[in-house]
Amino acid sequence: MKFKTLVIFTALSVLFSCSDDKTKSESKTEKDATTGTKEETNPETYTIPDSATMMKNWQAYMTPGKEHEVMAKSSGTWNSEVTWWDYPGGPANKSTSTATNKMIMGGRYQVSTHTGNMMGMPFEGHATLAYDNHRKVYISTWIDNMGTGMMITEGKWDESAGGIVLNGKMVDPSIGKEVSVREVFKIIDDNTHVMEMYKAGHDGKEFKCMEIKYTRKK
Amino acid sequence: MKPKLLTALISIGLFVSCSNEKTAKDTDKEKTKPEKEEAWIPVDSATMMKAMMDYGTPGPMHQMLASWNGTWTVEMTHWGYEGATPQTASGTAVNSMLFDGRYQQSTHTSDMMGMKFEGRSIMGYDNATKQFVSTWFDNWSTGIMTMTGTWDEATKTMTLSGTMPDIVRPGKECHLKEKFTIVDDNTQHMEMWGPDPKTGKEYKMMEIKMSRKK
Repeated sequence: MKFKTLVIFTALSVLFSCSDDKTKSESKTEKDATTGTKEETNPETYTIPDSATMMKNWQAYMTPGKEHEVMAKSSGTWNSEVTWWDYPGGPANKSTSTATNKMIMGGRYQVSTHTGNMMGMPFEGHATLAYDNHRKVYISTWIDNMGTGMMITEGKWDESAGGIVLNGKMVDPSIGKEVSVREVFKIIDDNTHVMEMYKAGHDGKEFKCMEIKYTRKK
Repeated sequence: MKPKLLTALISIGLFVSCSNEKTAKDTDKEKTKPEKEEAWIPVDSATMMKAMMDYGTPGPMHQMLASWNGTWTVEMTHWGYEGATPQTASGTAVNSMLFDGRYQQSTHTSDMMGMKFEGRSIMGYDNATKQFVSTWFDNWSTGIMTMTGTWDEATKTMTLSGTMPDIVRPGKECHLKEKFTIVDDNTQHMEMWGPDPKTGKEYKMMEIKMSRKK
């Protein structure tokens, strides 16, 4: 067990050593990420809503919409080609894995199970993707068998980026501190998706540290 | 065991060489970037390895989560606003651990006001931030509620805070507070506070009693 753990963490170090401590680009993405959120509750701004309005609001919040329909199109099994870079200009590392997506709870949430092999060790990851109708944001959570924390990101569809842009935080295990991350999910076509992940490099500038190309399994 | 050990050693080799190269590059870049807000401190590979072991190895908090595995009867009481008539519902929660004891997954099912209610939470204890992180979503929502907090061993209580969509105000979030108390091995108690929809002032909106199914 000890060696197994060691290999897992070694692999993880290579995978995630691209991240940095608090940097300029982090505070930039942080600002972007928190736009319109974390607003303090101010009792004075409250108006007493009638129960019909409350019911209508809740219905709108809980009913899956077109974003969920688009999400459901990704259901199925995908081959993942993972490429990651430890630092800007560093060599590209590669591995492959399999991702299985399905919608749960009446088409409201997408859960993804990732299984692969990272430097000879089994790798498992679990993701949840939501589209919050009330706040009109995508929310993504990620856990895997190498860590104890959770990566939680949120964001919107960005036409200029050609996909969903999600900002958030994760612990960089190599330094044991939280760092900012940015993910871009692109739908190339019905059978091809690309995920790009960016982090702050050691010079404070954001760089691409991971890319996953998903191809639908026939 | 032998192949594993070999893989480990090879991995360490790769890791160390990569790490050294990086450190050298960092040092070069530091010199040319004086405007950097916070200096990058190169970490030696032994320190880095220890940090990653510490981060990824389940500890006492994860063992505590695992001790709550099993099937529980859930009795819920909910108040729509301060002073409202309480609504009650009962259901079942099933707790299990994911990824070799790293995360707790809890699946809730109940019948509420004649509708099937289904909820799922994933809870972790982040060894780096020393915080519990909890996410929750259900079939009466489209969002994900996220809470973070700490454990107090003296009172056997976990105190969490976070946000959820504020149905009263379009597009807004509201703050929530949660207290989760271990009464004994077979009894748990959860209380939740949020803004009163009529006044915006904090009130107790929900209480849940969980009893282990024999």
